[in-house]
Amino acid sequence: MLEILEYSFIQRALISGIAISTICSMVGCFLVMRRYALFGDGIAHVAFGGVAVGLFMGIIPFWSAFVVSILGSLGLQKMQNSKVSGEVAVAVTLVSGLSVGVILTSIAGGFTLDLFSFLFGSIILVSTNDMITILSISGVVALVIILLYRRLLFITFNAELARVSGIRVTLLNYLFAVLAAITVVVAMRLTGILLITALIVLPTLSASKFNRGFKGTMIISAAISSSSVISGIFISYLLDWAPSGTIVALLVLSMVGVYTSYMIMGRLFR
Amino acid sequence: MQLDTILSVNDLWVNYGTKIAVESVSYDVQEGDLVGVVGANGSGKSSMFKAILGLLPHRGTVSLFGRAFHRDLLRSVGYVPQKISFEPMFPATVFDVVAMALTRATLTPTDRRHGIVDSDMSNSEKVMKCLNIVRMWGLRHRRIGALSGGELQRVFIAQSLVRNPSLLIMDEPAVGLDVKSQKLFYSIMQEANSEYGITMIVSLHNMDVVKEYSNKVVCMNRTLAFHGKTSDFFADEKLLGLCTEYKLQDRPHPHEHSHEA
Repeated sequence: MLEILEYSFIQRALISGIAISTICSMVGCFLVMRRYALFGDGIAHVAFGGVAVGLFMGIIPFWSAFVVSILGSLGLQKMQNSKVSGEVAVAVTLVSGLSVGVILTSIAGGFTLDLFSFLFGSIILVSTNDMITILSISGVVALVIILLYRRLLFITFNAELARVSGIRVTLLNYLFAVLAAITVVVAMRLTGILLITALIVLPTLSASKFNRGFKGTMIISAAISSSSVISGIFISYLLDWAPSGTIVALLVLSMVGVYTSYMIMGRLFR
Repeated sequence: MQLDTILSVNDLWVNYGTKIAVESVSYDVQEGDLVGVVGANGSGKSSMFKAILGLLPHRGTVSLFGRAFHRDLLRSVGYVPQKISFEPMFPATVFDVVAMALTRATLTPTDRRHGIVDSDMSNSEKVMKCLNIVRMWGLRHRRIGALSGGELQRVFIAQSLVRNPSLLIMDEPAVGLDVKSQKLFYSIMQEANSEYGITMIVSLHNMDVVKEYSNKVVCMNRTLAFHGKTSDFFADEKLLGLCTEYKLQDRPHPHEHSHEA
């Protein structure tokens, strides 16, 4: 079974998958604890609009999605600053991005293979250049989060207290929204637009049950996510399943397993 | 001895649309004061605090430590709001919550005359000292979502203290606490004021507590009804009545009963 590791496309998929799952866990911990779990979903749909813009205009879809998603995340954050509730802001952003995508897709003559790969992920098709881009962007996102960790943590816990303590909350919220948008665009290669929320939300929910502090939750979340990605790529190769669906199914199973164990342990040691 | 003016509020107005919450309020707070802010619900206490801290748009001027308000001056100010909302499953212990306030962006300048923590202490030592002051060191490993109301309030005071503030503003910090927790809370408040020289502005409902602990009183009635020594405030029964029973009959009530005179 291990001979599949000799295939360079599997190696690239594993390396890229681990990098993506790690930054999704880092960003996901902050989003879930801000009660903003669907932010990723909103931005992913804006990214769909960006992909359609790229395909329509003949630009590389990844980069058009990159720019459009960043603009979408800034708009989303601006709505939040204007006291629009998080779920309403996500809903507005989501349908706006999706409508642009659907219109441009219909003008371009319907769905293409490229568009399908963005909708459902294509980690197996990652080229060496793609892998280098994914690793570079993931590295920058992870580095910025590590450098601003305490400030982001304080804002996530309670933005008002952080603001009164002298932290530039508005500026950092915009910066974090951009980081989250970049993460979503990079993660499109792994699970696709439609399943991105799974990478952001599920590992954090599982990890939060381990009661190991915020940093610990982030690390456990990244470990659960990376294991699911590795196992998912192996299983999908062996059984000829879609990698994105397999990875997300494993994340769901991990969460069910953790929650069930937590319940049983709670009853045993009550 | 001439004491420094820590806070100066001049002609402060706060509006919510057409409704005026704070109307032309002016007063000074001197170094070492423990100011009890009193007034009925809706008299503008919380709005005034938020305006002072730059959290609400307002008219008028606020000076902190002799300088016109600037965000950086907040590094020397601690704040414990009336209610702190956070995600109940937030994965942080009591220790983590206090330590998260120790970022380079929040640290107080080191030229303080008084202080709870020394600048040469490690972050862990600072957190330990502040948790000891609020009697929460024993619960440092407890998950924040598992604490009672009184314990939470003490953690948030420790979180403010760990930044070594010169001024601590607390908005109805003892509301909802049981008698034992209230007593502990007030003794911590007094200790922080008298032993560590932290100037305090605290909104309080219990007049006995105001009388016992504060040296100055600010009485809000949307406008400033009184500002001065606590003894002068309690000497004026009419003023006392005005501030505590402020238009109670006129305010909207979610329950059905009458307020007979």
